[in-house]
Amino acid sequence: MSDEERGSGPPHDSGEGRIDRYLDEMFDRLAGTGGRGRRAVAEAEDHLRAAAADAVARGLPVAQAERDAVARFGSPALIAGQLRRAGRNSLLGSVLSGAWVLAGLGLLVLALTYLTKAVELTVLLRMHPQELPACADLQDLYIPMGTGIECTTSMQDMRANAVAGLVVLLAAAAALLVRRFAVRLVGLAPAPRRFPLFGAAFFVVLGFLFLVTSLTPYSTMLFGVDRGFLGVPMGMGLWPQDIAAVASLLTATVALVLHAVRAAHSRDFGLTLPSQNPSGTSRAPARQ
Amino acid sequence: MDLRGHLDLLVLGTLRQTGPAHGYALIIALRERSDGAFDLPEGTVYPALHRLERDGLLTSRWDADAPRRRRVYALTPSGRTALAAKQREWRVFAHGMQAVLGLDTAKGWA
Repeated sequence: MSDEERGSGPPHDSGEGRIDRYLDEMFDRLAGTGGRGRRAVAEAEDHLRAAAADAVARGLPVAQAERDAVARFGSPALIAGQLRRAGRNSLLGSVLSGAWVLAGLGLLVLALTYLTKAVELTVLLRMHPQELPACADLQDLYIPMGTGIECTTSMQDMRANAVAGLVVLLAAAAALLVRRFAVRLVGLAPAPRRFPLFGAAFFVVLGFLFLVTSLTPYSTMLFGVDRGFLGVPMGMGLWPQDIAAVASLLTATVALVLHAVRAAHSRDFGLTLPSQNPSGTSRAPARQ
Repeated sequence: MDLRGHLDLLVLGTLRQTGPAHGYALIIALRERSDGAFDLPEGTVYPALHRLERDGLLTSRWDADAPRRRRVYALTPSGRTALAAKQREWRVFAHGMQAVLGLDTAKGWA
């Protein structure tokens, strides 16, 4: 390792205050990097002062200890340059990764809507068992609600929703699993740390949008006539937009819980996993 | 020894053995476990840590109990998976190098 890489100072340098001067130079070289730069300087300060304290504890004079600590750390130009490069996040990768998750969750909401509708139609048909034997005979004959069921149509609607729900559910699962493998094996950028919060906000807005459209004439304009939902006939019972609204708000709640769990895990991991740390942090030097 | 290209693997492997650790503890562990063979500019471990965290392989937090601001790093599940994959690659690479260079253990380390 060259002297330049180690950042060793000139022979006449007394050494005292060397760490402060090093940190000043590093701070200057990381100007414009915002929070990442401040964090790097804070980490460098902790490292250098801990290293110097260790050396002093071994009997070295303070000036020599500081000079050695700075020399071993590497030149500010070298470290700051590497830190700048390390901070260049792939914005495109993060956006792609986040959009991929949103698309997968959106498909999940859609699948949940179709499947809920299929279950609801099944329940409604079972609530009117007297109508079922007549279905085959009635064919497409309409019987008003309350006195009977549009049997044949409702059975077809139930099947159409069940099939659509299963197909979309498979597509959602495939999208989310492929993204997971892409992150783990191919190196796709993970979603940003606060992404669950963004996702929750997205689905809250989507949920209220569905609620509003189901209460206004715009529903027909957006989702088609006759209570159809994205091309799939929904038949009697709940409006599909209401189900989609509940599914969206449910997804937002799950995203918020996920964020809270992650935040708690991030706060606690260093303190709650002693079994993973039989000897590691005990190697840490004594604190000043 | 030139560690360019291998530092990420060394950091992941050391963190798996030490558990959550800050940069200084990590560099000491790395030096001790390599018997001093991996003696690199200590500051270079921080860009590696930041890069690995950016890629989702590490997570970090400030240690509230430390007298100074101290960042503690730990492996994520993705980090453990990536480490296992890199270890498999390394075994194949090392086996091939040993065979080509005539360092096969069956023939003795010449």
